[in-house]
Amino acid sequence: MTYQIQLFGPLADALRTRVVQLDLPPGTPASVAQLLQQLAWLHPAQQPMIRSARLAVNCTFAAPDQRLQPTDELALIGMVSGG
Amino acid sequence: MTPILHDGPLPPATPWDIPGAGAVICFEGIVRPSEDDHAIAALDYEVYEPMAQRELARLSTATCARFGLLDLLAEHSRGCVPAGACSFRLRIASQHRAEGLAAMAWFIDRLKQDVPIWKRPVIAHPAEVATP
Repeated sequence: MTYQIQLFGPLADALRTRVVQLDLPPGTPASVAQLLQQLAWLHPAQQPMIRSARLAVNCTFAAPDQRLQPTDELALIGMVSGG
Repeated sequence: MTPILHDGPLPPATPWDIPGAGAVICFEGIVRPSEDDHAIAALDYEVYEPMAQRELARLSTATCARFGLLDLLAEHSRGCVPAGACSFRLRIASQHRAEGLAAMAWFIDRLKQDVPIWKRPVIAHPAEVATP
């Protein structure tokens, strides 16, 4: 199953893309934790940034055990700097 | 209470009359002329728009409920804001100053943790840096 994750700010700069695509084995929908683990494994140089970021699912921060649906809008939110 | 995102610098504050308010507090965040000891011309704000709107609205509601406020209005820039210009404004209306001042700090602390907005410095051209 293919997941697309939007990136912003320093994370987008570090991974040099605004959208990262992940392919996970079909079957049981992946959890947030599994998705982030796979992303960190694919990008070892950015592991600290990825591990400290939070996944937003449909514009809401998601719990690690939340199951993802194919239609979910995903965004990886690293350290923010507004205000 | 609906948060507002503006393109570029915030315009001057519009009149905001809240009946019953004994305290109306306004905080404005101004882009400083330097960032990490480097002169900058501006900050460029990137916003994950749908989530920023949702988080600002959620935070506004939560802050009003927690502190018993009469009203709250948050405004933030997207895009380029020159040094010296305003990129963030928070106005709070409360019956008394204590809860308004406490709410102001609480809101801003959480905005800086959770609202998906990122700033990127626009480095000043050497000719733009004022020399003493």
